[in-house]
Amino acid sequence: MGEEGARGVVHLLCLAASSGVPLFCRSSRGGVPTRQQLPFSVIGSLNGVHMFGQNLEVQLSSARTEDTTVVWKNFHDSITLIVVSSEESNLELRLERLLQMVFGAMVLLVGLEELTNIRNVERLKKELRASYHLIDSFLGDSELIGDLTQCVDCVVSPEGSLLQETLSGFAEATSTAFVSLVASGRVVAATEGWWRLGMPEAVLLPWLVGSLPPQTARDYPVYLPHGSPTVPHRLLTLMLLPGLELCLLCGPRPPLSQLDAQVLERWWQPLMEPLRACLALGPRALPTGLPLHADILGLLLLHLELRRCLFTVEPSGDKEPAPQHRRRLLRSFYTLVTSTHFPPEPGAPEEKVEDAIQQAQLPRACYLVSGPEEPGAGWRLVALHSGPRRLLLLVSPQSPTHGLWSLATHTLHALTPLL
Amino acid sequence: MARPPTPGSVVVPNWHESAEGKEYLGCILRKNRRRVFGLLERPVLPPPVAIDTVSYKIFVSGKSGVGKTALVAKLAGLEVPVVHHETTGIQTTMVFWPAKLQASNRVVMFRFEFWDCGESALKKFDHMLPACQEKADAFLFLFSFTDRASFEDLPGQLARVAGEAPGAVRMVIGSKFDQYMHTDVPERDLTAFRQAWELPLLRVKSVPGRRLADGRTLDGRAGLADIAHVLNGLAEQLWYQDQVAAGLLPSPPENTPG
Repeated sequence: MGEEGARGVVHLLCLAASSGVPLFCRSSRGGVPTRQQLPFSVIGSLNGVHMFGQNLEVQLSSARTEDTTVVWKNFHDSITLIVVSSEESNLELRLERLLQMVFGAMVLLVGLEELTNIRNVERLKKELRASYHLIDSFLGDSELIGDLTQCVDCVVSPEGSLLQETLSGFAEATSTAFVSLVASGRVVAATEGWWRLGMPEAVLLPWLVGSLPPQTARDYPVYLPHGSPTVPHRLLTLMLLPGLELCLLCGPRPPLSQLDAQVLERWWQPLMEPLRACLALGPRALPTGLPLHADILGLLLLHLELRRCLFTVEPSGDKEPAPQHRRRLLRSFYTLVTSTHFPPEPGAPEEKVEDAIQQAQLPRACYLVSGPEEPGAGWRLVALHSGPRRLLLLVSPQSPTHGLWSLATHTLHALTPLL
Repeated sequence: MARPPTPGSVVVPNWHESAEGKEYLGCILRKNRRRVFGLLERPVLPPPVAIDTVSYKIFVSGKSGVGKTALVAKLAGLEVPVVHHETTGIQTTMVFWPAKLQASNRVVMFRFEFWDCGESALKKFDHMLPACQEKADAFLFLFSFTDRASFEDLPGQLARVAGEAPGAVRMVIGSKFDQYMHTDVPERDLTAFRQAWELPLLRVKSVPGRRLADGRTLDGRAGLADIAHVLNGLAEQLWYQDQVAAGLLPSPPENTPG
């Protein structure tokens, strides 16, 4: 067990690979961004040991001490990212994905060209500051989970089809194929074009919109890390209601001025009530009418082919534990089952495919008790895998173990029409 | 461009501090915080006092780092970013401001749409400057009291940015006025500038806004008191400009004896 004070600290370092010049350092403690940084000598040593290996053609990817995990990753021989984390049960999978998201965020806002062909380090440092909001939101305690699951966080609105219809009409009228409606970083509705966006941009774009301070509208140049890393597109965001934004990904047209309040009112004013209802859904992500067993404290439903997910830790009431704690439990459970029990998701090439024997004996479900060891005291965690769907549940300690399997099966069945 | 009206001649200057003004301000506040409005929303007043809304587009221009984004955040009652970074592209912010007109004693709701764009984005992407200039009703030119170059850049900015919009309002704002101990722009330079350009010039302080009792949330009313002079100044210039453009006022030179 680590010393009090070092718990829950994450340091993220970004260096220019060739020179070892630090480009930025971001840190968080207990899920909150902090200004406390690693001393320069430590940064130098962490980079040095990685470089030393590289010179001998040894790829150092991760290391562990009693309470800390370090993961290194080099991108395009130009950028080195290092994460040092003392969070509990932080498996390498989580940190590797974190680094991929961070690099994706850097590409998104400054473009791959600037990152692979560094001409002026000082200018690059200045430009990278624009990505701090987004990067800090990965280090902090987010309500979203797409950074880890590499699936788009969604919210299911009871009037989804109405919203979808209007969205399609609006997209057609503005001649934009990529349009989505985003509530606090979660996608409520999107055009087919938007759903076809690759990874990581499909996760990064709504996440970016959710992490920025409020603006009535934006017209940002964005580079899509997968689809268009060197040629920028325009990301237009229009705040219909505080916390609810219409996002368009487009080329030179339409100009922002064309999407003024009159145009938006014509399309969206009639849907004011469903739109407000989306906001009210908030972190619950699921329609209120959906019957869920009262023992379920949190759930994560993934559709691995569509690459979308529903994540909520507030399906009902305000029982123990706190939402942050629930999110942490589900996050670490996800990391555990993904890196040890369940097969890697399709489209995640970085995961090593296990050998053929294990492939044949894939588990379909697993469960875990977290917390105190006395019977009936620890949080129950259940994971179920069925077709393209994967369901993870956090269940209250009172729930009998023998009922978990059927509880999970029933819940998955009830949720299937949603995703 | 018409000569600017004398401050306080069009809009009642301290009306927002009167009992009546405070009541109107209530509709842009919620629980003592500034309300953020979405594009589908507007302030709601009780039915008998329904008032007219006039919309204006305002482009905020100035050298990188003078505090364009910070000024707009302050005007909207939002948190001012702690660490400076270039604004990624264009961002717009809607600010509602009720003001009372001197001539008619009527209250009008001003809806300002501030357009703010990072300098390097402006240079890198050709479509951004025209998008910001298009149909702009006013240009706010920002300089910082702690950055001499940003002050010297003003004539260039004025020509480059507002050169093709002779009918638009132009105002100059000096930011970081609280740091007058370190000022790079002495009073005599300001006087010379004012004489040469005849533009309204306002000063704003860049101090953090007062917080509510919880120590975290910005105090909406205190924030409004800090920036009321800017919003009133803008309202005044824009309203006056509209009146002149509509031929409702005698042409400016004989109207302003001094």
